[in-house]
Parts: sequence; C-alpha cells; structure tokens
Amino acid sequence: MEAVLSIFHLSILVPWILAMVLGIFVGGIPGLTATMAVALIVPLTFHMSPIAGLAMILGVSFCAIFAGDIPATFLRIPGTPASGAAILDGYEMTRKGKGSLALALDLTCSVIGGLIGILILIFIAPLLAKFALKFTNFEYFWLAVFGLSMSAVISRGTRIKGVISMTLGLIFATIGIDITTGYPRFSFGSTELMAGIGFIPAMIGLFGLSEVFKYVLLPESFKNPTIKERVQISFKSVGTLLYRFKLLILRSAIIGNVIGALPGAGADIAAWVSYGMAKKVSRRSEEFGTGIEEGIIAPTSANNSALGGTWIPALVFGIPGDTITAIVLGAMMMYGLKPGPLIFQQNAYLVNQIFSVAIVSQIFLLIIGWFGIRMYTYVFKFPRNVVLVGIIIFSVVGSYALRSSLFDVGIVLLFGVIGYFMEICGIPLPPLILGLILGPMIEDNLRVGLVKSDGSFLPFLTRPISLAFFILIVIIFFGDPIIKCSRALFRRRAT
Amino acid sequence: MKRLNQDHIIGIVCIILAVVILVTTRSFPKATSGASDLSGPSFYPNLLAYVFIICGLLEIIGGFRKQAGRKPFDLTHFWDSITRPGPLNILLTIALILFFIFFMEVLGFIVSSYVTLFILMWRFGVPLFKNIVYSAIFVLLLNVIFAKIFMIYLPSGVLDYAGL
Repeated sequence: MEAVLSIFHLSILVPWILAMVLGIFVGGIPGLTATMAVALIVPLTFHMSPIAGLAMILGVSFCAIFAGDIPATFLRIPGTPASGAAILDGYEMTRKGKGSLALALDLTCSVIGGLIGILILIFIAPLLAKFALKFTNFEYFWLAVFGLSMSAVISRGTRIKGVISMTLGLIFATIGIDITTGYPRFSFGSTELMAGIGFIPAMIGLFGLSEVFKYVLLPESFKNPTIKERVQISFKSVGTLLYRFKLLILRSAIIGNVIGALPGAGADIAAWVSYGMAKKVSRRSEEFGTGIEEGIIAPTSANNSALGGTWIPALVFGIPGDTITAIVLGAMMMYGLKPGPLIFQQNAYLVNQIFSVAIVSQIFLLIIGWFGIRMYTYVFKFPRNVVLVGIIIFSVVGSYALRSSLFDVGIVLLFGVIGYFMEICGIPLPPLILGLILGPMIEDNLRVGLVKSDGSFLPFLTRPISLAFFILIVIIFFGDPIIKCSRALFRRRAT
Repeated sequence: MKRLNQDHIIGIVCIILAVVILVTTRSFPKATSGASDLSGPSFYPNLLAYVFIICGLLEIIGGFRKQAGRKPFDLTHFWDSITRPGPLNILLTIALILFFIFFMEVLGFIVSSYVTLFILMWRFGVPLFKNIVYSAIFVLLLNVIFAKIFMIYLPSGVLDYAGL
C-alpha cells in the first residue's frame, strides 16, 4: 500500500502527467511514433528518481499508442504503427458521421485493454515469459506466418489479391543488407536502400498520401470541413457497447498481451492479429471494414494490452518485447537497476510502484485522452483544402524527421502512388504493411531453421507449438471451404 | 478475341515483377556454408518470386472467368482523363513533394516548405490572404515542433546567409 501511495508525490505526479500530455501530442502526429516519444523522454529522466522516470516512460507510451488512433480515425493516417488496424473501421465510422463514437470506444477500450494487460503482467508474468522462451526459430516462423495469414482474413476483396499484397510487402522487406550473409540485395548501389525500407514512411504513404490523392481528385469537396459532426461523446452509449462486447474486449486484450510478450512482436502485430481473430469469429464478419464497432474494439483493446505484455519478458528476463521496452531496459540500467528474475526480490518495492503507476496511468489516460480527442477535433474542423495541405506537409516533414533523410520522403511518395493504384485495382493495403513488418522475422527464422535442420522442413511441423500454429493457419485459410463442403455433403446425405 | 481487363493487367505485372526478381538474384553470390543454397541471399526472394508467379497466373485465369462483368483496359482516353482538374491536382502534389526532396537541402526547410504550402493552397482554392497566413503558421508550427522541441536538424539553406 505504501508503494501505491508513494507514486502520488508531486515530484513523480507532475512530470508523469506532463509526459502523458506529450504522448497525446506526439502520438497524434503522423511520423512521430510512441518509440520516438519514449526516446525523447528518457534523456529528461536522467536526473530523476527511477520511479519518476519510469512513470514518465509508461505514461507517454500508453498515451502515444492511443493518440495514434485519432488521426487514424479522422483522416485514415495512423499516428503510430500500432494504429494501422484501427484505421479500417474507425475511418469508415467517421465517414458515417460516427467518428466521436469510434474514438470514445477506442479510448475506453484502450484503457480497459491496458488494465487487463497490466493485471496479466502482475499475475501471470513469469508463466507467460517462460512459455515465450520455449520458442525457437521454427515457432517464430509460424508465429509470423500466422500474423500474415490473419492479414489475408482481414483484407477485403479476393484472397488472391490479399496474397499479392502480402507478397509485395515481403518482397519490399528483402531490400537492403541480408542479415545472414551481409550481401546488399536489390539496393543497386544506393546506401539508403542498403538500410532497407522503413515501414513508417511506407505506412504514411500507403494510408495517408494515397487517401490525400483520392480527395484532391474531387476539388468540389474542398470547402467542406474535414469532419462534419459535433463531438458528442455519450459515455452511456459507449457503456452499453462495452457491456455488449465484453467478451471480445477480454479476448482481444488477452491475445494482445500474449503477442506483446513474445520478443519482436509488439502492439502493431497484436492489433492486426486480434482484428483478424475478431473478424473470423464474428457473426458479422462480412461487415468488418465497413465501420462497425467490433472492428474498433478488437485492435484498440489489443494494442494497449500488448504494452503490458512487452514488459513481461523485459522485467522478468531482461529481454525487450519491442522497441519501447528496449529503450526502457537501457533506461533501467542507467538508473542502476538490473532487470531479470532477481528484480522481484531485490527491488520488490520498485516493482510494486511500477505496477501501481501502470494501473493509475490508465485512469489518467481516460481523462487526458478525452481532452486529446477534443483538441484534435478542433484542428480537423478546418476546411478540407487547408487540412489536406497540412496532412501533406506533416507527412513529408514527419517522415523526414524519422532519420533526417529525404530518402524517406521519397518512400512516402512512392508508397502513396503504389497505394493509390492498388486501391483502384481492388488490392487491399493492410497485407502489404504486415508483410513489410513481418518479412525480416519470417526470412530469418525460415533460413536459420532450415540450416539447423540440414534443409529439412520436418521440424517446422513436428514440434508441438509449431504444429499448433500450422493447424491454426490451415483453419484460417481453408476453414470456410471445408465447412461449406462438409455442410453440402451432409445436406446431400440427408436428402 | 477477348480483351484485356484489370485482373489480366495485375497478373501480368506480377509475373513481370517476379521475372525481374529471378533475373536480379542470378547475380547474387551462392551460399558458402549451410545446407545447399538455403543459407544464400537469393533463396528467399526467389521463393517469393515463385509465389508471385502463381498469384499472377491465378489472377489471369480469374480475369478470363470474370470477363463478362469487367471493363476492358482502354488507353484511348488516357490523356483526357489526366488533364482534368482532379488528376492535375495529384500530379501537382507529386511534383511539389519531388521539389521538396530535391531542393530542401539547397533552399532550406523554411523556404521550401513555404513554397510547397503556398502553391498547394493556391491550387486547392484557399483565398490569397488566408493562404499567406496559413502557410506561415504551418511553417512556424513545423519549425517549433520538429526543430525546437524535438531538436531535429532542419537545413537552413539560403537563409543561412541571412543568419536565420
């Protein structure tokens, strides 16, 4: 109890809340990621107590992940990579005039998902981390393929077009230095291409710029405000929806947490997988992507819950779950703390403080996030022609700011054009991004796994967890046709 | 004679891209260790190229199946379609982003972003006075956020001589 009360000291509380406000601000600007927000905060925490520094880091990451959903919902531009899946139904809801409801749902699900994630972190952290440690290359390969097959489920249009988009993403991911041999592939002598294609500029181009192109095609709509509706957040209607979809929230938060706990898989993958799962099991699966509540609840519950999950391997074993916890581990070492199993005995008080901060951050997120929605809504009330120009320049400068590289601005432009043509041809965009994110993980684990097994594919199927993933993937791809065939056979026999 | 439709074009593009990959990877070095060629840099891109060929063929076959409901591919009105105001807006946006990429280092962030903003707002019909003010506000905002708060280097370019 003393640990809980200690976090309300002004020396902790003030920087903590200021960091959360910064998180809302940074997360809502395309190109500025939650990782970047955390990286910016860390140097400011050098002269603070460890818990004040960790409170700032935790607060800023939760807020930035949520705030990324605001431009995703209003403008179809994900503020952070973790908001990619929230675009699909969030933006469609805005187009139907229900953007505020989408964001209110988003905010409350982020808070509930975050709380569930932290409770899992507190109670079953050691068990889950041990499970994640059993994963070898074979399991990681299937985990990544599982994530990709989800994108085939997510995508609208034909499955072939979904696979084309996914494969294109995997091909783009091969550009750059081959990690195994050090050979520069498809870089054609360019030093920038040797570093590979960053998925943040690619995402800004695919989802943001391609959408801008669609709007500038229609000059007659330039004088209209970007969002027409008044922001009226009815917590009663949100409460009703939350009660109705309570099991979906719980399931998505658990999926998000488990994925977050696996090193290398962060909030972005968690959001996509849980969206895909929700679509697969929903009675309204056909309506996913057209602006339905389940399409918002699933990814937003999962991405904030995944943040709790990423802390599991970080705290228990000192292995970062994602880029944010990689920075956190560095910061903890800077504070003189040693993450690992012994931290629970040697720094039990601090660990309890961290857990308390994580829980209270969710309550703060509810308040600060609500103000964030209102702030960004005023920004987006400007006429569309001004907002479109603003989006273009923020996308361009935001992508430049990532690595101070004009090459990344070129990537935004290239992917903007690619995305525009893909949409004209009915090829879904999300599988491409997921292919780009998961490509290196699939390739590395496939090649290392094959080398380990002397070129044999058998170990990819004979290990229990690998086999379980494989069966799940087969069900995802061929579940519907198998069920349809068996139903047809059953009917024929009956008649 | 059946005419080409969108699915055929997608399929053909996939196959062309796959062939380009297969040709390019021929110059990649062979694996020196490990099981056969599995550890080489060309193994995985080639695998993806074969997946692309299969997808391309399936798309072409699908295109013939759905021939009836599909619009044939036609380039006769191409010039008319891109010279309408909407497509011209897209081309101007692309041209201005290219201008930003190639001239930002030389002209500096402030000048190049102001020019980009001003021309885009002018094209999109923002009144002149508002255009001048909004462009200045955007440049100021970007400069404060990126250069002052996040300490990201933004080139000064020509303004360097003016000591700005």
